[in-house]
Amino acid sequence: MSDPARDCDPQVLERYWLGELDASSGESVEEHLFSCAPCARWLEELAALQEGLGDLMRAGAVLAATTDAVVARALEQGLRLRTYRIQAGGTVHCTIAPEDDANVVRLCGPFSQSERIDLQTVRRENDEVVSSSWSEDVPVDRGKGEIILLNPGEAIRALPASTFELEAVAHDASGRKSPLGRYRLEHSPWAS
Amino acid sequence: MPEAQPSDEPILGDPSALEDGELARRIATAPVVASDAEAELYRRFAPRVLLYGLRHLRERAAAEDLAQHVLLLVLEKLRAGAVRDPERIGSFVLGTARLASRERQRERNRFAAAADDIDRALGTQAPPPLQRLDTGALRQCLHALPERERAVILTSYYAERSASEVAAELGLSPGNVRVIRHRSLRELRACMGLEGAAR
Repeated sequence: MSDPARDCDPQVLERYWLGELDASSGESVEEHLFSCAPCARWLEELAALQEGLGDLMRAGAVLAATTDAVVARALEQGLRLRTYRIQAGGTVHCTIAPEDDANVVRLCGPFSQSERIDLQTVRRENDEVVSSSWSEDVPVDRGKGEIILLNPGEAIRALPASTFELEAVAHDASGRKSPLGRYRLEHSPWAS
Repeated sequence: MPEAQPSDEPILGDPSALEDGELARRIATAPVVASDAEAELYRRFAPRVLLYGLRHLRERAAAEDLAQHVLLLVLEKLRAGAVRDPERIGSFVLGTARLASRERQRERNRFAAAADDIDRALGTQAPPPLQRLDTGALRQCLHALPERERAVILTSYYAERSASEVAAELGLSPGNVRVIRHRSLRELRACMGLEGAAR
């Protein structure tokens, strides 16, 4: 006899949807879904969220520190991504074309050993600071030692000529901060 | 003479109030086609077959076709009195979906491109679509998540990576990824005002 309390477990439904259950467990979940309207509804909403995320990505509308897997999937789906890779201490000149969906900035640095990395972003126009923000605990692609930033195409196209200064800072267990690298992007609007 | 008690039976003509088994029995025993009951059964189970199809066939058009095909088969069987246990109609629908899905996968392997064209040409009624979310609201809710949570959600649900794969990319344990994933999903659902967000 199935246990409704255990069966109506959203974490199990998440794992089922992502193919993480073995065949037998997956079949049990399916049996449950076809007899439990609330769980079926919950899973429908999860599927709708997944479709919504796909719609946002295809529209180049997502701003995120992300992973190689997300970039790879975007490329598989035919998104046009303009990519820049910057070493610590380096500068790149960047822009975005009308047909680009998003840009990807890969910051390279000694990130593998740090548990937590924060990223400060300062934008200047004509040497004046226009905005400054901190992103805390940004994800790092440990295999490549990169922080991968995905930026929405539409937002970048709206920018005037700007200088972006990024600084990655590590936090250790005692709260001490140490700089890991500075990066500079000189952005120019697309010259047709 | 005992006093008449209010009936516990749902009002006739209101199939939405019936339990699944009672709905199936109504369809099976109706002297004429019980259109309202059949439409209700379709409304309840077509989305579940669609989800099953998305999960196993990995393709929207194929999943929609599966849902339509399976529900038509189930309704035919009910009308013919060929469903042995209408109380377990959910299991019957699932079993039919499994068989039909396997058959489709075999057909697709044999007739790849031709199968898609034939399916589309049939052009019969599609199952009720999955709900579409307000992408403006979803964008705000996604961007409200902390960076790590946003990365886990996108890598899990957009890039369709398992917890182990996400863990390997981000230097976390699979268990940690599942906790972050579940928590982030709960926040996203709450932000979007979805049912069951509190679970």
